[in-house]
Amino acid sequence: MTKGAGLEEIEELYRSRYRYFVQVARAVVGDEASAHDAVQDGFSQAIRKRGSFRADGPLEAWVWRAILNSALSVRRRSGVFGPFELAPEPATSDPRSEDEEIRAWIAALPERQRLAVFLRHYADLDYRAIAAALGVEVGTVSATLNAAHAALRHSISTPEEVSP
Amino acid sequence: MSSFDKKITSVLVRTVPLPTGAGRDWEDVLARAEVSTRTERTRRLLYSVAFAAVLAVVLAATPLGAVIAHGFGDFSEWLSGKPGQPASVAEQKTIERGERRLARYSWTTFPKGAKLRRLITVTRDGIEYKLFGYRAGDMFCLRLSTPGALLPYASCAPKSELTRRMKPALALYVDAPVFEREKTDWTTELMTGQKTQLVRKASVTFGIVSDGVTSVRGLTRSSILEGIVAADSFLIVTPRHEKIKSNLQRPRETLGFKQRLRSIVASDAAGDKVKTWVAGVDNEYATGALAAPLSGPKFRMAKRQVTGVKIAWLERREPRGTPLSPLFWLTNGFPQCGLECKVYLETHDVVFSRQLAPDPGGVVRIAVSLRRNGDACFAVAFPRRIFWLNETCIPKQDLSSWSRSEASTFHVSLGMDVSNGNQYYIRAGLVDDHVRRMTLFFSSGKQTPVVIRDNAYVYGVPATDDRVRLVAFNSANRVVGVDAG
Repeated sequence: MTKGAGLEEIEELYRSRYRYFVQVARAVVGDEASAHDAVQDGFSQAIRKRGSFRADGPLEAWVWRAILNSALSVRRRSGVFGPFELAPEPATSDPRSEDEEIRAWIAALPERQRLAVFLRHYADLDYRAIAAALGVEVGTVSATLNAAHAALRHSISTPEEVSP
Repeated sequence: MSSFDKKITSVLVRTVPLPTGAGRDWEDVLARAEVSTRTERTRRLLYSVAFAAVLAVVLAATPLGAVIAHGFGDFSEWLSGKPGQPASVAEQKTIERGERRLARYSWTTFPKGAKLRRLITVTRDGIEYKLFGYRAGDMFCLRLSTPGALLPYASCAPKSELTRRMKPALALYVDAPVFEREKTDWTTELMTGQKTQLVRKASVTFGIVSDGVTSVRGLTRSSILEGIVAADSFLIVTPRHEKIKSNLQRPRETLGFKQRLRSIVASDAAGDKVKTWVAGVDNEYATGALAAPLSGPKFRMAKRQVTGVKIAWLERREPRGTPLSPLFWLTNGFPQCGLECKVYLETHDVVFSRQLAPDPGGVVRIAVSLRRNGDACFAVAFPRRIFWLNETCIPKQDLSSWSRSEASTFHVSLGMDVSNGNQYYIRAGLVDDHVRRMTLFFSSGKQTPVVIRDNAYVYGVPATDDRVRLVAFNSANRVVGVDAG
């Protein structure tokens, strides 16, 4: 059963959340021009497919899905790594800084987990919306982020995490 | 949001700040939507014509299946477990030692007791590549060892894939990047302060072939690459890479779009050829999201679908599988985990925990634990890893009342997506007591049973055919649950 989404609703979303869409797209594709392109294309796809929106989740999550598809497609075409594609190499033999550790951790995540992190921390989406955007169960999102955070806690070994 | 979450957010925002908002152009979106609609119509017309042409060719040809199976042989060398030569003791030890350092990045750990086989050793442009094989339960695995790899490249295919496969080549990893450290030029050094940088020198694709295959070629958009075939395996090195501007505005060698492997062609001694498409890097969303809906058989659901997950032996605290305790972690490669795991178990009030092995010789374990408040938690674990991955918990009330929970229907899925280039997604989970058997239906029409042991299951899905349905049947052979996998 489909309900469809209104053009005005999609436009409202575009105008109110544009910067966040571009921010996440840029985290995937690398540069802002490509990110803008991905967002424009993602929204055009959403408009074309708006009749298939089933309204069983938030419209924003459904649009996020289109934007992510578009961004990944742009990255495939360009062959350019996003800023989180490769773990940063330490400049010297010194241990990595905490920022580098976090970026390395994000780089080591499988793609879907990385996107979940982006949606959580850039777009401030709740688990339900992230699940809808990525096409997974809510429990999987929660589990994914929990596991990813646990891994990071270990990798940066913050004092409060290792003390009993 | 915790301080820890805020820390992650701040690093992310420092790396990619929120843009100013300039460039917003709704009219452009509308124009693109209109143009794409027209393009789509044209594309559909072209597809219709192409489909008709292909159909005509297929109808004129001999049915492929039996011919392929006969001409190229089957995978019996792999299924019998004897491809290549045994690895030396030193090689085996090196891989086992390397696990500790690499385990945090890799889902495919090298299982204890597995015997390594040396398949291909080759040097290209001064870089040595060693391909090893091993069997892990019902999985057949390849592992590439090369000094230029930042991460371990290992991937496995389920036995069912080899026994049923109608094509003679099976890629397990595509376009794995290989790097070399090079001195930076003076401008880069000035800008970044780094005297050396990692440069992508090549990419590697490897996989399994059937017994009769004598050569393998890799096809990209711009070239044909001759692969190395030995010990029923193949390895293709893509050596040249485009120099492009990265997001940091400095030149970086990378794998250009035209150089990504799209398919492999296997030939036998008689010169017969069979092409196999591979799932290139970043393919995950190519078939998902707004793509066409899954086709395949329709399933009539039973009158009463199973909701919630009830596992009687867990409620009875029956000691299925093997114990899961801090000692487990201590003895499995991470001594520093002792205190951490003890803290973890205590702070989470774990009153009962077990480790299940849906495929006893395989690489995946499932950790199950009951909490003092009655919640049941599940996680994927690896024999040599420190962390439980994808942990998810079901509140006690959902277990006892069987109410519908968003996190669970007839099963709890702990799916793992693997790194780019890996040709299989691995999914593991637990099913309700009502589930007697499960079958995986692929959109291509293929189907394969999923083994259930102590309510736990694991299966691998080819990335090229990942639109699957997992169908659960009860003891009366009625469908009690369908999941998109």
